[in-house]
Amino acid sequence: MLEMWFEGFLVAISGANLLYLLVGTFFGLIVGALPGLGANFALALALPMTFWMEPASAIILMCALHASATYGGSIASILINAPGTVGSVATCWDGHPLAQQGKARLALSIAAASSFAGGLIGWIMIIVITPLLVALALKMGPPEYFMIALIALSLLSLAAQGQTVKGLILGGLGVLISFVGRDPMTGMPRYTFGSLYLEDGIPLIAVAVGLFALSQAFIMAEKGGTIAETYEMKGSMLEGFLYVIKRPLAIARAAIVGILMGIIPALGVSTANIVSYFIEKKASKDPEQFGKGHPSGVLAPEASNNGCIVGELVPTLTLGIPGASPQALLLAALIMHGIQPGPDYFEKGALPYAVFIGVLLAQFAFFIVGTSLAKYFAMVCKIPNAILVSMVTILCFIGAYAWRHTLIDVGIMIVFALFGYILIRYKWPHACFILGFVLGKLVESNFHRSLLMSETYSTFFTRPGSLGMIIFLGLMFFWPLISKTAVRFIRMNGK
Amino acid sequence: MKKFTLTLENIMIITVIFLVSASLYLSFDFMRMSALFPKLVSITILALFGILIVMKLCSREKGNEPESNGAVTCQGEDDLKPATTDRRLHWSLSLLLMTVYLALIFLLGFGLSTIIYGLAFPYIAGYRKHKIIYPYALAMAVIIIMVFGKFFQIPLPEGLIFELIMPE
Repeated sequence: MLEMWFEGFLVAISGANLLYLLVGTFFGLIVGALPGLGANFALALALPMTFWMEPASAIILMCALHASATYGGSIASILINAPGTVGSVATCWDGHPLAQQGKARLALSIAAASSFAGGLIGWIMIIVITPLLVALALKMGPPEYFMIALIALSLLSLAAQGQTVKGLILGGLGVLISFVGRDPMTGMPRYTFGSLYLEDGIPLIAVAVGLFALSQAFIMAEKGGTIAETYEMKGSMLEGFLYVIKRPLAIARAAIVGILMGIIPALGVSTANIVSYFIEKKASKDPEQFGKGHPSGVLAPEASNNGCIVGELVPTLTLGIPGASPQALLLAALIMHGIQPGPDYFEKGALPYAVFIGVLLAQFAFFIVGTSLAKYFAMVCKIPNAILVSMVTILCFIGAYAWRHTLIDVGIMIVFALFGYILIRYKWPHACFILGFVLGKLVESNFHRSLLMSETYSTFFTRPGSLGMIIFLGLMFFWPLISKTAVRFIRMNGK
Repeated sequence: MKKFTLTLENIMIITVIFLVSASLYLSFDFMRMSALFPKLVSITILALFGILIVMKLCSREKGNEPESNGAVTCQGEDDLKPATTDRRLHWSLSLLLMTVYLALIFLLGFGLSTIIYGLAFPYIAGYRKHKIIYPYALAMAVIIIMVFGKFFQIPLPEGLIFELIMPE
């Protein structure tokens, strides 16, 4: 075991991997600092580029991108009051008031140090949790996998955050589109219309790049101008680091919230940063200062963000179930390299350990690069959108083309970009689509495998693991009804 | 009751309902095992669309179209104002230029069409600083060719015209 860790460490610190780590960190910070783009954009754009890399390098690059884009989001939040990523909403609430008070550097250093600390705590937790989950996953068969994938699909309503029907429709559409191509169980072509191209299915890269990256080009084209004209960098960095060091309890609290939100499928950073903000506000001695530039209002969401993105790796790597859309893209990168995540993931030599070391190094990389160059990364907000749009378009085109060397993939990407644009414009939760797309085949194949194993539907009810998950699913589905009835019952008894 | 307007969202909903219905119809030709999930998912989506349409009609009846509660993945979109004709023109122009760019790649190859697109898009979008646009377009094409064509060894499209003029 220790040997594997050492071997993984050597792989992770090889020259090429360190270079990819730095490239990922730089690119992630740039994308993160651009409001509206975020981790999905960065990962979708990088996904086709990783095809030529070693598996460990590809995953290290993606992890570095994810961690740094998440932190990078705080730069725009603090300096120009526009959340760079989905996880930086709560950072705006106190980060920008701090910047307005002339303490931008303090806010940025708190964001960097707390993100780093949150990521470290998250890393320690995944080292502890992952082997336990792997031991559990080894006892699972197709019925349990089917149920887990079904639970993840039903949690799409949570990912939709209030737009349940729209989220479920998009998740369902993603599942339906994943059926295009040859049925892996029977070999029968479905929705291919005799086209050889469609027999391999709709390419995930074209869908992901179109939906998350190219769709943003339309948004930026509409906005025009530049994202920000001016911003100021004042205050002390050291003061921010000291503020974080003196509050280990707040950091631990926020990081644990983040990790939990990350492990539960479909919640992710969008929920984690807001929940941890309010928990911190409640725990604070001066909650009335929150929203007016309280440093802890930056500390909590940032620590939980990076704890969350590390926590999201647990179900992705051990069960092959992506918890959120960035993880779906990470999963796609793994599958593209012939690695099927799951319980036997740890039997793939030094690779899993190299990935874990890579995740740890990614935290150090964004912390060092981010704190020293935050001012320069924020400058991307001054690039005119007219230039940015054409740059994004050219990169998306080459990204979609590069994987299978066909322009049809580029055409498909444009169609999904238009679809993504309409979803964004009318505020449909478009992340649900990609989750459905990735989970669709997993649900179908495990369902059929379960039936082939026992030839009866009772297999889902006779296995304790599967039965437990059915009960959980039922409870989740009927929870609003159960809780209402319980409250009414308690009130009636009370009277 | 408000009048029905053909917004982009409504066009998308109608198209998706049509496509899902078609997928349901086609699934009747599949083998039993292969048809189960496509049928199940198609019916579920159509049922959900039914619920969504009823919800939309109810909110129209009340005169308050439900506003999104910010369940978007990218926050930058929150400050999108309702599309004016001018802004609508920008995204449709972007779509048109992308399609032209794709056609140009097919005809002229990746390098030349990237230079043309890199020059045309900023100009059409109203950005007129030539000292920036020209070097940017050229640099972008060179970087893409060097990184992807030379370093990653991806066979970039050379274009139909060049293939006709200089066959291998």
